Amino acid sequence: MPALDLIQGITAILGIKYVLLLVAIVPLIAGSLLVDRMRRLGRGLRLFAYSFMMFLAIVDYLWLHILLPLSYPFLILLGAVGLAITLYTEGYSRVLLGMARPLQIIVEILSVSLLLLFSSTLLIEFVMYWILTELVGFIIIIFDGTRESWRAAITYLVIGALTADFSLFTLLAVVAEKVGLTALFSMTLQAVMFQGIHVGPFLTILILLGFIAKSALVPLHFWLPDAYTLAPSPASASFSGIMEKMSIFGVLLVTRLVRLDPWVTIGLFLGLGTITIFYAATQAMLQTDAKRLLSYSTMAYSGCLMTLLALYLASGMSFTMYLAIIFLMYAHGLSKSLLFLNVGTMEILANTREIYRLGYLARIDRNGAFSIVVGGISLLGVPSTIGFVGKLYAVIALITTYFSVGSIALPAIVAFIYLSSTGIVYTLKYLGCYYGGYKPLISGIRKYYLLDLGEALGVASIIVFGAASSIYLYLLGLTPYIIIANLAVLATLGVMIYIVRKKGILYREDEPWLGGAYP
Amino acid sequence: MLSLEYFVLFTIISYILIFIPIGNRALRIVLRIISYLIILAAIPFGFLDFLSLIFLGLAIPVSLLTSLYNLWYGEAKYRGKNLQGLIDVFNLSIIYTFAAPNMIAFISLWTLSEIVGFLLVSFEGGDEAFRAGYRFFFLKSMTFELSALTAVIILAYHIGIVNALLLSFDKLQPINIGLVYSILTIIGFTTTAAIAPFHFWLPHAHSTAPSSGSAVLSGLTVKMGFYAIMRFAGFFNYPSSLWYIILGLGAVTAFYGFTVLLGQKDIKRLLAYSTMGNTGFMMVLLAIYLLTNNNLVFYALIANIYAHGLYKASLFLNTGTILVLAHTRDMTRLSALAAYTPTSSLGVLLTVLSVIGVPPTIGFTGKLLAIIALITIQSKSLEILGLVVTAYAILVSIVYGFNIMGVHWRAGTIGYKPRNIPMYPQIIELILSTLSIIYGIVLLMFFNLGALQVLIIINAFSLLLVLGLVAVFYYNIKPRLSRELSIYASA
Repeated sequence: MPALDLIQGITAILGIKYVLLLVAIVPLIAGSLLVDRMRRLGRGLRLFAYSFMMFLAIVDYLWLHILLPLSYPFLILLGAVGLAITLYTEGYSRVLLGMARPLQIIVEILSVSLLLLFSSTLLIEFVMYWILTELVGFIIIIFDGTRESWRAAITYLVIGALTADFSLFTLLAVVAEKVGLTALFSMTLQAVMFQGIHVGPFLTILILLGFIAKSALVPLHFWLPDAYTLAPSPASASFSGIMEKMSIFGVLLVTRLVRLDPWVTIGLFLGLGTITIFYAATQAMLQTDAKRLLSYSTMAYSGCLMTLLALYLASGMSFTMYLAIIFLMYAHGLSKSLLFLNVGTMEILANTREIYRLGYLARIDRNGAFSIVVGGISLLGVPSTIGFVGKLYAVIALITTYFSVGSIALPAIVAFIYLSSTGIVYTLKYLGCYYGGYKPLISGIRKYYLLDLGEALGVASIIVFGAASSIYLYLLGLTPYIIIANLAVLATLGVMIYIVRKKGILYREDEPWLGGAYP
Repeated sequence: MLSLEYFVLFTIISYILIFIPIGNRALRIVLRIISYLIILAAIPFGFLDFLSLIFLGLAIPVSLLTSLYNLWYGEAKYRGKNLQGLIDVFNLSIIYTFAAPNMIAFISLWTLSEIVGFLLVSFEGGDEAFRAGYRFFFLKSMTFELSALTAVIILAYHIGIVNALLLSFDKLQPINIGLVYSILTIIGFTTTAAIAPFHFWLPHAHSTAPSSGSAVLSGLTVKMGFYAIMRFAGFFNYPSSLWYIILGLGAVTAFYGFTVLLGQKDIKRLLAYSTMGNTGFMMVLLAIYLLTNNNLVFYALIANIYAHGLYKASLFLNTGTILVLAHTRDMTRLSALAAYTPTSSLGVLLTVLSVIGVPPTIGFTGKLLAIIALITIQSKSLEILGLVVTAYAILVSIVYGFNIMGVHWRAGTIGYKPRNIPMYPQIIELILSTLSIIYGIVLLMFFNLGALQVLIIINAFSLLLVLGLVAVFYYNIKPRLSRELSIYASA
């Protein structure tokens, strides 16, 4: 049994932590309960809560030091993605369902459970909140209540919960073997790190199983497209933007907690991740449902992140690769959640997500078109967005790793190139709904302003994080003029988008329809 | 342990209290509570040993709540027939079997429970019910008599017949026995736990008995087999080859039960097969415990026994409500029950969380301890076999838990004509379901008294999260179901 003062120390830390978390959780839940009755207050409370999550990470980094350093990027990402999603969800569900509360409350509960997970101090907390988060995801998927969504939900639950149980309980067992059952439940993550526990190849596979399933690597990937497509769009944004990053958090944490068998870990992630990239990126190009396209793209990106993780482990935890993983995660999380939000707009405006039945949406939704362009260029990695920093770092890290670990980095590099090039194809395909003409669609729908606001926050976070993270480019030895160059590119882009918006709309307005009428 | 005189006294008081003829429901409830709890008065005097206490901790709440539920169910479904007396006698015989201090009390109460169980299984009358009851009684009591009598004879050979029957269990000295005798002494209890090859009575018995009877049969009667094996292992030194046989049979039963489950459409047969699969799984744990003597495996076994007893009793009770509500057990025709019995559907939701194994329910603790225990044992082959069985158990539990949740919370075409269900049985179900969470938290804390405050904080938060989810179900999905059903009705 651990010493009493140690327990009291843990209790004190937990007490402080949970009081701080309550400051975020209570406004979040209250804000989602009040979303229909007191709209402004509810909105304010939720925005406060998400800002507080980011603030918490910063405060803890500077003064408190009660969370793991690993949690900070995830908490900040959660806050940034959550800010956009919470506003958007309110608008989306108010337009579609007539009231906002039913969807809002589930999306906020997902955020709460993710917050609790990312701020875990104890090993048992990590395990419990992980399983609870799986359950929350399950309930979100059955939100629509159709037969297909129940089927997708059970696939998700079986794959997710079964593998998560096995890997997390195996992790607990490995620790329990060393410290005994009584100490297990009060073991902090940091204390586990000091134990230096070695794990054999068989148990390594068991431990990694849950993370492979969560990040939808190939043999356990089939739950993802259905689950993401059938969940409500704002929730899909949350899934893709932040929940899918649980697996990265989990792997980063577990590799610090115990010494996994290195070659099994690296081989599994590198091999499966590469296969996943090729499979999912190809699938993404072939999809006609916009949401399915984004789901497959998410799968491809999570495969990419996992290959990077494998190389990170192979290169002896190099800091460049760590930054590459974090920035690519941010790039993907922010831009993909924005795109998923935009799919929701598409559903509302056009009542369909079939890409070939959509066209010229930019004419009725200029702001949405703007946000889709920003999301798209961020996904493609155009300078001045977070996507650029992510991709640049990934490329640099891949090349340096290639020089340090040799040819095992080669498949990852090839896969990364494939991912980037297919990304251009499907992003352009997606943009076709707005600017191209698969099928012209004219309608006089007015967009609800909260939808715009949510998307605008997503755009803002892409640009803000892009600008902020370009500071990290100094670390690569680049000149300080990079920020100036960044701003110049940003301005050029803005002008270009403005011109395209103006021109595209004017251009179409002169064209008569087949019958001779003007739209 | 309890001396025989006190034991008989307690038994008689309990039975008398049950049969006082009173019409008032509130008084009947009070009488039942007293009658079922009176055995606990023996605890302060140290009359009950650890093993009895473990099983009583499960048996008393489950049987008491089943009996209270039956106060409504017996009237609503079997008006005019005295199901209540049968259920009470059955429950008390099980409770006192767990508390029995020596062989004579153990054998007589067990036999009583077999006879009453036979009446209970064939209660609905008709050919099928009688055949199920006959099979139940014949197979179980025959093998039980064989085992119990062999045990008595072996004991009598060593310490004389009077001592064999009357000496309390904790005073018996360990006796070495060979493989053939040990199979003879065990076979009755593996049959009770529905382990292959004598497993086939279970689906029929559990699905034809009245639902409250099924709850006790599934929640407690199969646990009597585990209790008896653990009890006998205290004074017989079984050869380890026996446990390998039991291990193999348990694994076979688990795979058979869980696989057949997947094809079931009848909700009671589905639950019956899941009972069979789970007993196989628990038997694997028991065999591994007795082979390795690892305490952790013992805890895992107990946690799983509790988890299974609680959730299966609660799900079987719910089938009673479903039968009265919809007059059908066909799962393809059942849906959206939450619109008619919201409280009991809430209970089912909590129970299913325990089936799936969500923290902080007891199902979570059971799974957690099982996997931890299996990985920490030394033998690699046992570890892998145990893990495979556990994986299959978790997989199938998720699938059928999900299906049962769908019966209550999924909208669909309504293939039945609903009847009104009062609040009383629904509340009883809800209480039984909440026990899954309460026991889960208590059990998790039991392992770590030193870090109690830490666990309290974490459990409180995960409990809040779970309650939030449950509230989402209750306040969002239920109104939608009701709305859709009213649309169907008007169309």
